[in-house]
Amino acid sequence: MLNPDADIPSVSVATLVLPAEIEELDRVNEFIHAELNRRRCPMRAQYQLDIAIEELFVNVCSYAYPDGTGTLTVRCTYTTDPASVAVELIDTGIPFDPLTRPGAAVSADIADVPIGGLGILMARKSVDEMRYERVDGSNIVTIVKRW
Amino acid sequence: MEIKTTIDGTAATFAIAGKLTVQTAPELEAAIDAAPEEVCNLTIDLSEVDYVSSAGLRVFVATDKLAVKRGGTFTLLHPCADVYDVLEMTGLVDIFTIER
Repeated sequence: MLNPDADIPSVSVATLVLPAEIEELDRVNEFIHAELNRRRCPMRAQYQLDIAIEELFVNVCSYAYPDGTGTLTVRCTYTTDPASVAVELIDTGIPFDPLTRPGAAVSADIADVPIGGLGILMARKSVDEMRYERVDGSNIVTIVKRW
Repeated sequence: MEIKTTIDGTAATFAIAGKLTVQTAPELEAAIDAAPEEVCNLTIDLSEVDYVSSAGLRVFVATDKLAVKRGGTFTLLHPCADVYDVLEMTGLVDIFTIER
């Protein structure tokens, strides 16, 4: 019997380099979804990963290059055992650790709820791991999602 | 994303279809801003929405504040399970009126 998974490598790495601009978000998602679908990642896990990637991607677009535009590298490492993807978002902008941004504390009264600040909280809760490193002038935010 | 706005007296319903992302959330914000000032009961229908990021949640929070300011109500209709999850993880389920 043919094994439909036989051509899926146990580890694969794919890299996409693109301008750090909000309009490019769809390209990032399409790039990752293609491989996640091949690896039969459940839609729910893909949704949660999308949430985290959007928040971190928007952070880079908004803060990394205050004097203009720059690039963003998206490096994905897929593994089969455990079934997971590690997504590294790498920019060469100003040092910026999104994990140090305060998560919004949602209070019981709508008047006290901040309009922004929910993003990093959502990103953290949507993935299994999140870490930040500053290496040789680059910000590297890594998120890991398992399914 | 598509938005269908229905205004009936002081009530407005914004029915969205598609994904509410950083790219599309401003469209919803603009549609809500375009409603006349006497409209104070604001409803966002999420029946056809399969993704909401924090940009979308920001619009919900701002709309709730607007409804309170106008002396009205804010209601979210029919979020799917994944969308309900993000409302839950941010604690907004305890603040918003949500009809499932």
